Amino acid sequence: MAETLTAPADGGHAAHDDHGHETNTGITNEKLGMWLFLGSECLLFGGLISTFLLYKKKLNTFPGFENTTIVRLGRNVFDIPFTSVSSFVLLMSSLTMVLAVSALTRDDQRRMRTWLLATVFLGSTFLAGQVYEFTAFVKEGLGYTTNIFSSAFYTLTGFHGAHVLIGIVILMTMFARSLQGKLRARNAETLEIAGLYWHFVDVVWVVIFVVVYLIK
Amino acid sequence: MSAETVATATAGHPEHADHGGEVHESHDRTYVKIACILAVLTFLEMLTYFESIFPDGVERYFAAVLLVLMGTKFYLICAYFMHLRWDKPVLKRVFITGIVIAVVVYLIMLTAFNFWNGPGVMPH
Repeated sequence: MAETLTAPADGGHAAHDDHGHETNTGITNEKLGMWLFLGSECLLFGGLISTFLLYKKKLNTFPGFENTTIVRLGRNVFDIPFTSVSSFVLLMSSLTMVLAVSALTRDDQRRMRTWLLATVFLGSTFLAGQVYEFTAFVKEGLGYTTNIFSSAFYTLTGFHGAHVLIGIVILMTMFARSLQGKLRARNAETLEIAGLYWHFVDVVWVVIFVVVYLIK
Repeated sequence: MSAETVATATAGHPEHADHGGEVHESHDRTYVKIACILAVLTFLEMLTYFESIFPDGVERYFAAVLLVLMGTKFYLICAYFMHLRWDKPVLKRVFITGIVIAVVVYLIMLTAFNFWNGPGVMPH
């Protein structure tokens, strides 16, 4: 901590890049901080998923949905095969992400950039799919303010989409840093930490896909 | 591969510390295998949507099957892609603590709102 406070502005970056801090746990503060953040994110998404479940159960009490069950809503509005492909795309982005980290630890810059771009591409494909899906739902009459159920649905999946978008921005930043020569094997943990965030976003979707789309 | 690279590569994987580059190759293969398993599990999840291909009465078990598949995918991603299998145990504890607190808090909330039996008490 003292090192961080006393280090000059430019020298401080070098210290961060090296991740060479001595800690009691043997884990860098950045990595531990990311895991603590992910632990707290469980509470955020837990709250959104629980709220969605409560309103999902009361779907047929909303005006215009009196004779609708979640099964019928799923058949009529949710496009499960399409969402399954989106889920597959996001899962594969986790694979490309972990391969990018692996390539960086070998200092294989070319492969690392390739896998990183593949991850960005797959993440963007997933986001595009979500935008398409939302557009289709609105055309079917399920807008954000149609009822509380739809608000809960869009808030949950929209929050997840926002996390994917932030992840894409982080990965693009990593890519830019690698082009500047600032992402090398010695600071591979920087990419690993970004990868942790990306995998977490994937894990959350694993839960959302089952709880929101598949379980009736 | 430099010593520095090997040190970075084997960080958190003390059991592989002597093998250097072989570790990367074997881990990459493991990642691809895990991704294939995840793809198969996702396909199985999607199949539950097509109820007509299953015998009558089977669909009542779908929720339990889906939760097991979901839990398996969750574990595989956390253990292998997020390296919890090889990383320091304290990270596992930090993450599991977050999950447990979230699950307990929201199970209590769902129970308080009569989610399991009644029609629920949420306003609309």
